[in-house]
Amino acid sequence: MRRWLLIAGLGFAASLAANEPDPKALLDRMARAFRELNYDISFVYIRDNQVEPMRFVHAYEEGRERSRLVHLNGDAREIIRDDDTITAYLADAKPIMVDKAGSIPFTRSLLDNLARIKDSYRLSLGERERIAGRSAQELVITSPNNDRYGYRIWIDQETGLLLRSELVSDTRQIIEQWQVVNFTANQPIADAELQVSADINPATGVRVLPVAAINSDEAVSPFTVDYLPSGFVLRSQQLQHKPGVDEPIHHLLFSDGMAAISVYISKTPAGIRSAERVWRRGGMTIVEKADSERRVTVVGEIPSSTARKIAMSVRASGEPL
Amino acid sequence: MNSKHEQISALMDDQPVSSSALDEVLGNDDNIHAWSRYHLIRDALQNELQQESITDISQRVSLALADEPAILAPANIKKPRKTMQSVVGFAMAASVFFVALLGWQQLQAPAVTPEQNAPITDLIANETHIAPVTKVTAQPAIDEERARLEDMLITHTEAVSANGINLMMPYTRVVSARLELPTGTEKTDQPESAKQEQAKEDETKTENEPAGDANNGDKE
Repeated sequence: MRRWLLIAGLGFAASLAANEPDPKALLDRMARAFRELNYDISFVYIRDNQVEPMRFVHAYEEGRERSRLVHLNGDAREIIRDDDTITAYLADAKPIMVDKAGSIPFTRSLLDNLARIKDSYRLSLGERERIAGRSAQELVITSPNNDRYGYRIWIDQETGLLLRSELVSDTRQIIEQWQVVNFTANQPIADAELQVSADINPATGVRVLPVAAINSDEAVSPFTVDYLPSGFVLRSQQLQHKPGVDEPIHHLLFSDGMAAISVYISKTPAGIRSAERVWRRGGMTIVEKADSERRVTVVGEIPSSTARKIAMSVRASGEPL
Repeated sequence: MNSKHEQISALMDDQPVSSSALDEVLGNDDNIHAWSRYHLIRDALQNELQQESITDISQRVSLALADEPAILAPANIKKPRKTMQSVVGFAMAASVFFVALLGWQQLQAPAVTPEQNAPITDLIANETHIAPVTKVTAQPAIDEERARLEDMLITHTEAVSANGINLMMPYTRVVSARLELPTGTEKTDQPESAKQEQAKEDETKTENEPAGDANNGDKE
């Protein structure tokens, strides 16, 4: 304990200390714990000078993953997951059900992430701290580039679950924080805890959002994204067919192992000649750019300057630069 | 010899009672009434009241009450007390939460600040407050546009989560306070430079503090 604190304090790469926790192993353990443990946590999400309390209940039994995320203030907003079926109850809107076809093996995804992280980030162990009344290991993830954010995360030593996280800009400002306030893990989760609240009454029916994953090994997107920050690679491609809309929306997901960027490309609706919009909420940026032919929307936890550059760089494959 | 009430209790509990005691109980109208009242009470306690007997019971109870000294006892006293208890319980839970929150905020040396390039001008600097309670009124065109953006937030989160990229609970940002529409320019004939300036300016606004912008027709 004292030895590695000293080492971390002196700024040596923690991976050199063979007997101490490897940052990559901690990240791997955290991703697995997220998915494979039973837990019931209350947390606060802090962004844009606002504090929002939420609760997340997660159950994993014989390969079946179920969870429920509830906003504890205001109109009822909940996300219910039962394996691959995700239903979002967002206040007055019709509940949205994501109907997914095809998915990527989870373990392969984790290995891909870990392999990429080391190309774009520097990982170092921070101190051991008490977070939410529990013993936590801090992990600092910084990027040498200012086109993406850095992270400070605190991982529960007993379970490997996340207890606190901070998204940090290149000027070391905290963009959003996430912190557990109450924590139970490895206890059975009652079925009732995974059902949507009784005060949500989805009388209007559910709006289904069909999403078809394309195997990226065989598919060639009709669009090219010319600019991406270094280290970002295509991770998945999907087609969304919305009811009543002929043209599907292309959805490309890129990641550097930590951050993720979605690029949505669709036909510009009639009546719009051009549009540019920027929208931010905490670490999440949406930049939309439309010309008379297509509308490009970039969604991701990246600075808006990066998102804008990406949005501007999309062209049809084969189209001259 | 036991008192009459004890004999009736013994009978109610199916305990052996001598035949003379039984005669005594049955030979007295007061005792028979007490016997039926005790049954009524027991049935009520055991939730065994039958629907058809309720009228009869209420008559019997009100008749019995007529003979009782006046006691102020509203029939539904139990309910408000329960509500009060839950209100107190909630208030306590809430104050525990806020105490936890305050304690934690004080520990936070750097306050949460928005991205440096996009300062939020309409909020009091460095003051963290509870997000306003989401209240939404129906506005079809805006709802449709918002649904389109929410769909993207949801499918983005789903793809991220399926790829094992999680640094918070997935969907935290989706469930976060109701989405306001992004500000920006649309269908304008302004020169490119003016458009960029407009977009830059819009970026500094937060969704909770919509600034007056004549250029943006679909703002809430």
